[in-house]
Amino acid sequence: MTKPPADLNLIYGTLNVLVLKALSWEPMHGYAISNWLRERSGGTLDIDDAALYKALHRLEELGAIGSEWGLSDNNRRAKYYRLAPAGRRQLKDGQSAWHTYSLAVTRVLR
Amino acid sequence: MGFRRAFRLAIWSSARADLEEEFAFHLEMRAAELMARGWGPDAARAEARRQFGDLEAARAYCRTTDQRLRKRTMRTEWLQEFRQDLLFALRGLRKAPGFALVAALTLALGIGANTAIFSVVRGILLRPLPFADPGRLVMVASTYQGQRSTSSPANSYDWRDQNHSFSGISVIGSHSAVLTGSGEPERLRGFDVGANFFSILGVKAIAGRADFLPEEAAWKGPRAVVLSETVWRNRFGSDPRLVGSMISLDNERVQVVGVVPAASTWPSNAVMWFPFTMEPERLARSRGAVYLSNLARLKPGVTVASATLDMQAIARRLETAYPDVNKDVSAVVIPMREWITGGLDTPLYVLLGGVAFVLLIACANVANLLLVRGVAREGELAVRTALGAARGRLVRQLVTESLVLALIGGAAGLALAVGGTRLLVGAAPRSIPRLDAIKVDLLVLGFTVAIVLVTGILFGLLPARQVVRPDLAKTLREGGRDGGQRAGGSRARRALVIAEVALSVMLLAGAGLLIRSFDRLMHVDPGFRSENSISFALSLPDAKYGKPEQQIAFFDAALARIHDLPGVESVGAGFGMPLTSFGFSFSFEVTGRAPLPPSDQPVAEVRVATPDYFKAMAIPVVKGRGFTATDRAGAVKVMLITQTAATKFFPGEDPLGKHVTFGWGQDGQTLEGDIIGIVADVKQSSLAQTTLPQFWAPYQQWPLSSMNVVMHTTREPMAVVADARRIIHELDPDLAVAQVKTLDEIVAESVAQPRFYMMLLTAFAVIAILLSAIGIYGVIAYLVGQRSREIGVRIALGASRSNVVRLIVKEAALMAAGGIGIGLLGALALTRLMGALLFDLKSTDPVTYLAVTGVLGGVALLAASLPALRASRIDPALAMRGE
Repeated sequence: MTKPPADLNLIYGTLNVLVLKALSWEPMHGYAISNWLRERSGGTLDIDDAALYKALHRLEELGAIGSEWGLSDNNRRAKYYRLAPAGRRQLKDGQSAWHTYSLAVTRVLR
Repeated sequence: MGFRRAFRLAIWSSARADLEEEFAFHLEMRAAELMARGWGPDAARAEARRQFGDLEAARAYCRTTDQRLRKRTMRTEWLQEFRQDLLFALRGLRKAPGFALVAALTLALGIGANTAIFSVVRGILLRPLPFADPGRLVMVASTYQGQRSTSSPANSYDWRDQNHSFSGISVIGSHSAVLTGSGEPERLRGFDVGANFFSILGVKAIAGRADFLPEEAAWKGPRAVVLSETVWRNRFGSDPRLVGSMISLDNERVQVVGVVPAASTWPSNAVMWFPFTMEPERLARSRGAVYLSNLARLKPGVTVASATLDMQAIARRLETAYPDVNKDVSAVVIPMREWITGGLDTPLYVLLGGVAFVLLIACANVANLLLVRGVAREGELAVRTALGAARGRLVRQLVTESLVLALIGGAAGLALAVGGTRLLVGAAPRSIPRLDAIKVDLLVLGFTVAIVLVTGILFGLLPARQVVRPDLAKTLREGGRDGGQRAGGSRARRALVIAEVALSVMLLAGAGLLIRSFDRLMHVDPGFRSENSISFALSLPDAKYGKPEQQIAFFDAALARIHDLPGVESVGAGFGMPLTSFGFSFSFEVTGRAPLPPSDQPVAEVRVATPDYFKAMAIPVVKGRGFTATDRAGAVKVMLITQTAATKFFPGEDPLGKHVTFGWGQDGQTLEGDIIGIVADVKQSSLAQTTLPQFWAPYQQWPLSSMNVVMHTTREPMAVVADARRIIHELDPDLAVAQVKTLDEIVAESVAQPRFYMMLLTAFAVIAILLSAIGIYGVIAYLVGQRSREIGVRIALGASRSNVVRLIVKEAALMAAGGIGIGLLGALALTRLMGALLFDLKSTDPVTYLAVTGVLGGVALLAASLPALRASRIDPALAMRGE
């Protein structure tokens, strides 16, 4: 598995936006989010699970996401996260900021 | 729902467990996935762990965020619930406006009255005096045969020079004077004091200096005066140049040396202070003339007791050195606070006790109301518990409702306290000291509100306790209908009502005793006519009227002209007005009796009057004749005596024609005279006082510079005074017409204190009775509601309406009887403490107790009759259907 460019993780708030994006489809538990991120990035973004959980708990504390215990597909108790209204706004802002940023960087590098 | 519940019940350890479970789930899922791809179990677990990254750091980080989140969630949920409870409570109170109004009013009365009275008591008795280190300020008084008295200048000076106890001691003697030269002449109340008087008090001047220089305190030294800030402001517009300038007092030029703050003046009615001076020869001869008070400051470490011992030792030496005037004379040291508030502690503590009772009754009433309401809601609470409402939540809701009530009551109570305190201070007689120090006491208010809150919470919780009991099914089945019959709650309510009635009885007994005592006081004959009569004081300054002939001439002219005024029926002048404790006593000898040593001679008060004084006051001459215009200087000296004096000093003899000689004189003459008549007694210092023997001397033979003019008028007395003032000013524009008062006012002022206490305690008693009536009404009305089915059955079975009324009223009568019985016993025990406040009445006065029983019995029956009548009108068909 190829390691992603280390610098990508340093861009502030990127992981948060990704997590919010993941949850904008449906409520998910941490393991599912981890897998979703791997699949969607085609394995490019191999995010540290520890960092993912830190982001989840921090977002929950900030009220961007909520959580609820439910049953997983294999009938195990799992903590499901879902997007809160505040998180939906944060996602929108984060997405457009990212687009502006990447567009700018792309233009410079072209 | 489940999500919220999980959070509400969560504690920290469960939050940690959740976190571990979350991580474990992730690791196991990842390991399972790896094994499905062919990894061995151990390798899969290790790989999952590796992919996870720094587990420890994540754990530590997530724990802190979780904890913060949980704290915040719990807080917001608590606030949300509180808001809910608050709205719920307000809605509930709006649905029961009668209950809410009565409960809030009860609380407001209790809180308001209590705070107002306690503020007054604290202001007068408990607040520190406005002087530096007031605990060391004392008054030193002379005693004669154990009785406190004023002291003589010579004795006071010996005390000052010989004591080892005081860092300073100063005499205080009355010295009022008329201020002229800046507007209308005004008589100012002042005192002669020692040079270091204000140093002893610890009061600093706000301009100039407060202490006098040694030369100012010396005989014939420069004339100096210290003024109060009040005079400085009102008469001189706070002119800073006043200090050092000369003003005219009693037609003499006096230098103002300083101004002292109004808040710390003393004696409290004083506005100016002169240095006490006395001619050295007169000082030496003054040992028998007692008219001074003494203020002193204890040295550090000296107690009142040891200072008293010191003073008594000095007094014993003076007794040995001057046996003729100092026999049986000693000294006593009294803390200044006690001196100022002396005699007030009994009435104030009685009032405090009274108002505490009102608060207790208010608490009992609120408790009662909440109990009744709680029981009425048992059904509702049971339903809500059955529907899954958490019990803790219900308890919180009930407590919130009590708190809301207490807050509303407290707010209204605060308003009442502010108004009440102002009213009290305004209505209080001026003779009560330190009224200016009184303001609403926040500490007291807080304390009272706390008591009420605790009561509210405690009794709000009682129905909650019933909710927590497990016989919900029963309550639900019976629709809460048997609540009233249940022994526990019913007994508590009855006990509360009985306690209320008992407390009311005690209060009413106290008030009743004061009313009866006051009534007796008002029926005491003062010995003079007070209707349509008015008096004012006139003081002739020595500078202009130094000679007796000048004084006589002035009063002759003034009285003659006032007499000619339209509407004046009679006018006279006397020294000192009755009921104002103003007089001098001297020892005397009767010519023809064996001479007695001075200390064994009889003593009587001597007053001076013009011939028409007795006519103006309507004091009848009982025997012999009164003074006439012919009893002048140069003529045979004459005197009148009162009936009491005649009985006391001339038992079995005819006093007429006897010659008496007093141990006092002025201007080289001795006070003496032939007794020419007997006049009726006059109450000299108060209506309650036993009549003391008195002598009267004619003004023309014993002129004085200060007299009170009394007019009996046929028209509005105040209008006549205006005319009289004009005449005085025509004669001398520098004289002040002071202390203008109708004789009715003088009588009213003399009983102002007992009237004040009586009115206050009566007000408390009325509040108490009202609250008790509400309490009885509430319980009986509730009882009727609970028993309506039973009453319906009775009526259906043929019970007459009057039977039903009797049944209900009997309930009330039993409670009232219990309360009255207990209350009477309590009253008998407690009113003994009021003995000092009662005039000519025993604290066991049966009439009072009978009246109290009647009033409370009547009120109880009245309060019960309303719900009883309602019960008698119950429709049996409706009642039995259960609606």
